[in-house]
Amino acid sequence: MDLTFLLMTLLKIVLICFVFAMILGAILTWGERKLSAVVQDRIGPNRASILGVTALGLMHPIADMLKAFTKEDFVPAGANRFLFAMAPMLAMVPPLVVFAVVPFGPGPDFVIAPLDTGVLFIFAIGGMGIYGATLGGWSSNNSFALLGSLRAAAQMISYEVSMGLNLVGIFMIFGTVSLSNIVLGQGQLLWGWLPMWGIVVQPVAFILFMTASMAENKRAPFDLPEGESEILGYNLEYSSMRFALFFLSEFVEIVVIAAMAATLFFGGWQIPWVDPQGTAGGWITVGQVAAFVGKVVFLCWVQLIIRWTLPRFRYDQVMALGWKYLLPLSLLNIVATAVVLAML
Amino acid sequence: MMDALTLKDALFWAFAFLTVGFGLMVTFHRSLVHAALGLMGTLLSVACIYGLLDADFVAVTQIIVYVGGVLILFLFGVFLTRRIDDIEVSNLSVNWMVAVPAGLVLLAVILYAVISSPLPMAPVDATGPTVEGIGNEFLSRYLLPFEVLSVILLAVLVGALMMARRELKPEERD
Repeated sequence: MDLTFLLMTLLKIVLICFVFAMILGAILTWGERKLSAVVQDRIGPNRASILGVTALGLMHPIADMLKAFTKEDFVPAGANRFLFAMAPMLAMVPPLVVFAVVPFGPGPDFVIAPLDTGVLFIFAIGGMGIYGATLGGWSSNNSFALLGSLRAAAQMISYEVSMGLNLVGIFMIFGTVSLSNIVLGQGQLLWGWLPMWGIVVQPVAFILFMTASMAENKRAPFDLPEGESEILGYNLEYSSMRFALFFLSEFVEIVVIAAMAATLFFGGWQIPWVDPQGTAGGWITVGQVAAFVGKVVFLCWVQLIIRWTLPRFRYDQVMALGWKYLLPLSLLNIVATAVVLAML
Repeated sequence: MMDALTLKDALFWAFAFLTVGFGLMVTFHRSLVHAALGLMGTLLSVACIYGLLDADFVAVTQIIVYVGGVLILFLFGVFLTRRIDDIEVSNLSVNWMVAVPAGLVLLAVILYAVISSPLPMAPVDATGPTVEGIGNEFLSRYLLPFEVLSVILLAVLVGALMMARRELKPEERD
């Protein structure tokens, strides 16, 4: 562990967490508004401008940021000041830390920490995201916020279970929980021509995983913990930058889910039939990193489309979906995968 | 240029002190929610020590099970309790006449166990991936304890459900 290693790691952290994840998250706030406008036959944000340049409304994230920084930072009376300040950070940090194990390209140069326990690490850190929502609601000293945080805790705990079980099939097929090795495994070909991507060998798991992780991220159709349009949620008392942190953490988590799905189900940095071992170097490596980023952006778009297509569930429906449908289906998926693997 | 061993040692001591500090917070903080957060700090620091010792699977499992699962349910229960923020009732030290001797006895037993057991003090050099090895051991050599434990956990689950149902029943009859 010498100085160059530490500096390189620091550089990777800055590039991946702050340049890639944060900026993509910020752009997604714009993307979501534009997309919702298209879905609802509107034009969407187009007026914020710098010297007359509106760039299709791309100036809006900047305006939002300035607004968040300059608004009054309000702390309600009777709130637990320490936890009230901690909660947004607890919400923001886990989705950023998760990027430590995501391989952006072939080899150890394109991942911050190629942990052998990759996917488990993601679950461990991602599971801590619950604390932000839970403590934020409790520390606000507001009954509605407390109810919202209880809804958040119950929902996130429930879906975490099936989210983890969905991926067991992937682990069984590729025989590893390391993200880099799973990506390498997806470079194999089925019957000599079909890329062995996760979505090809585990299509059910992909659908279940996307459902569970969108519920985990508390976005519509599962946005009952916050219910921004009417039922009030855990972030009710938050304003200015603290609210912005909650808001941005949700969008960074969209990127996390997209990166996980791309890595586990869409072959990560693999381009089909091209250099499956990732040893080519040169422009092919550049293309592979670009392929990964492209897959992530596509899966972010899928999540936005789902969010603006479906209406919100009732809370009992959310719970029933998690425990009565997703969980048994994930268990069935494991059994089916085991039977197929045993017969092969 | 920093020597790898000293950096590791420094991190170890830092996490060791954090573990003990958070542990004291669990014991002595008057607010139940803060005590629960202290417990989170303790569990995380212990997980970091596991990580430093190259036991990556144990570290990650510690966080998944305790920080991500058990402690959240703790907080969930605490939030639903009335007057938890009332410092006068929430985390009182009661029965210290019994608790202090019991704690001392426990400490003595643990210290005796640690000192008398032959722990390998030499660093293990072959610290490769651990997940596969642990999985294989669970499903071969330790299959029986593994299965017995899962049956016990299942029994606990069913038992908890039974108790919760029994409390619900009289209300339903009304």
